[in-house]
Amino acid sequence: MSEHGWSVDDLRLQFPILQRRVNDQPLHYLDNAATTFSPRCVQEAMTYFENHSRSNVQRGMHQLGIEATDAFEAARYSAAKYLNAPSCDEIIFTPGTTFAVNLVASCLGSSLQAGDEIVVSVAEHHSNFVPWQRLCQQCGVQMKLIPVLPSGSLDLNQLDQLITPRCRVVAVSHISNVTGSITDMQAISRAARRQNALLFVDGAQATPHGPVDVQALDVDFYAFSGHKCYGPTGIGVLWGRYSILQTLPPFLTGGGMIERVTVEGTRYLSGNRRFEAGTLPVVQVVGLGASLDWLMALPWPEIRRHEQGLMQQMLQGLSDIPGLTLVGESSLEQRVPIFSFDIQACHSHDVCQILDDCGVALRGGHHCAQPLMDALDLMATSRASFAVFNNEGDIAALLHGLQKAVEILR
Amino acid sequence: MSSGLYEGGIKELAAAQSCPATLSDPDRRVSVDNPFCGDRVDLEIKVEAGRVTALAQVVRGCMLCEAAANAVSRFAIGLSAAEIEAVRNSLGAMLRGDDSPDWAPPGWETLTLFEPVRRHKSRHGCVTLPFTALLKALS
Repeated sequence: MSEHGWSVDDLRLQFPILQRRVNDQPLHYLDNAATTFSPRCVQEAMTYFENHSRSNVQRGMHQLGIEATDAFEAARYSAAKYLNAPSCDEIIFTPGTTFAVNLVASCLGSSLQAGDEIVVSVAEHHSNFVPWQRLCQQCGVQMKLIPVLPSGSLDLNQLDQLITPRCRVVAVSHISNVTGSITDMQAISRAARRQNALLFVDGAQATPHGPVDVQALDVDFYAFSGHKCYGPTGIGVLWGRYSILQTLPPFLTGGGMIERVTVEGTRYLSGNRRFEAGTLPVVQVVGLGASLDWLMALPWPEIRRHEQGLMQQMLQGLSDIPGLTLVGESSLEQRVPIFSFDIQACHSHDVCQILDDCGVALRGGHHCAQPLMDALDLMATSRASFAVFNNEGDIAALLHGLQKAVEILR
Repeated sequence: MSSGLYEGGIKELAAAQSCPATLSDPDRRVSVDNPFCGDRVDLEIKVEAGRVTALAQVVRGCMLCEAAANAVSRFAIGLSAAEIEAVRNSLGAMLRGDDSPDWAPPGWETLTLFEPVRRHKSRHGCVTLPFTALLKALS
């Protein structure tokens, strides 16, 4: 219990799933960077909506339609507040970050010309790599890559040479899903601004670790997913600067995004609504809103202190595993608790299999970041990623399991 | 539980690499990835009259993939694509839990070592990847 009354034990009580056992062991869930759990209040918000207000949004004149629209727009307000967006009209609900990247890449495509350039980092998740790569191939645009240091962190030393007057878009992740490194967004934003390039940020791994300020970051687009933010799957957010959204063509067309349709043609809505065609997953939006409200109510200074303690325990413990190499910075600065590591002569799939026997859920593989793996000459790593509910017991179980895995596999 | 996966047979088979990494003059060369996990098999073969006469491979994968690849390198010489495919089908049947797979031609009954993998569906692809590579090379 902290001096302000926060304790991880109390917090854990909000997550019913933490009570279950796996392979006859207590569950130690450390795959939160892939999907984390939702607290009871999120589940209750979704259940309440389904049982009391389920109906379509925006166009219903009946009571349930009004309630559904209110709940839907309240979630949009929560998303705007979480990102410190200037306006709710800049919040677009998407199925997730991948969809958001594809949306922006597709919509920007029509304005690109041969000779233009797009700058992406080598460390991107495939979601923020493949859409840009494909767009470049389709439009005859050159894709330039921000390299990585041996640690896997971005090497920003040549940024001004990479981001030239021909650069139209820079796309980077706020935090790496492999190394947990926090990108120096100020440096990238300055370089992009100097050349009038748009800056797209994949915030999928940053948003679970506290509210974000898109205005302070000085970016143009910011996307994240609900299922990594203690919310439901199948829903996410794309924030886009309003003045830029106004210039983009629609992505998907249909109901909900039009101002007027005639047999001669269609006028589209402006701002965010232009990009929300069809009926959105309303209950997931409501759940996402509840998760963001829940996140905003957390005592983040306390949680960061707790996370720092866990990260120290983790780094100390990993250093005791023979043959283990950490991918990413070993300092606690400029990182979140996402740890990828390689153990000599122990493949990550085998490690994760043995850890599962211990009730420890890890992720093994290339983490949808094969260009980064190639740059680091790795095929796969094991990854442990913490959430706010993880505790010392989870780390101890992980470290014990790793020792066991090494004994079995060598 | 993963008991059986890392005890005895599979671990020994994974460690018993029995073929070269490359051939001097291969007839076919393929690289096959498991998109789920990123495991990769780089395979080279020589073929005469539709039968494998020499095989080399580099496996960058887990213990299950390495063990299956070593079984392939040990027993595939002299076989045709149809025979390899029959073995792969028997392996698939065993992993699915079907009854009494036929392990002809001789030697392939070694693959019963992989029976404990049956309950780990996410690992089936690790075991079958070397067969996928060989069949692709023979296709």
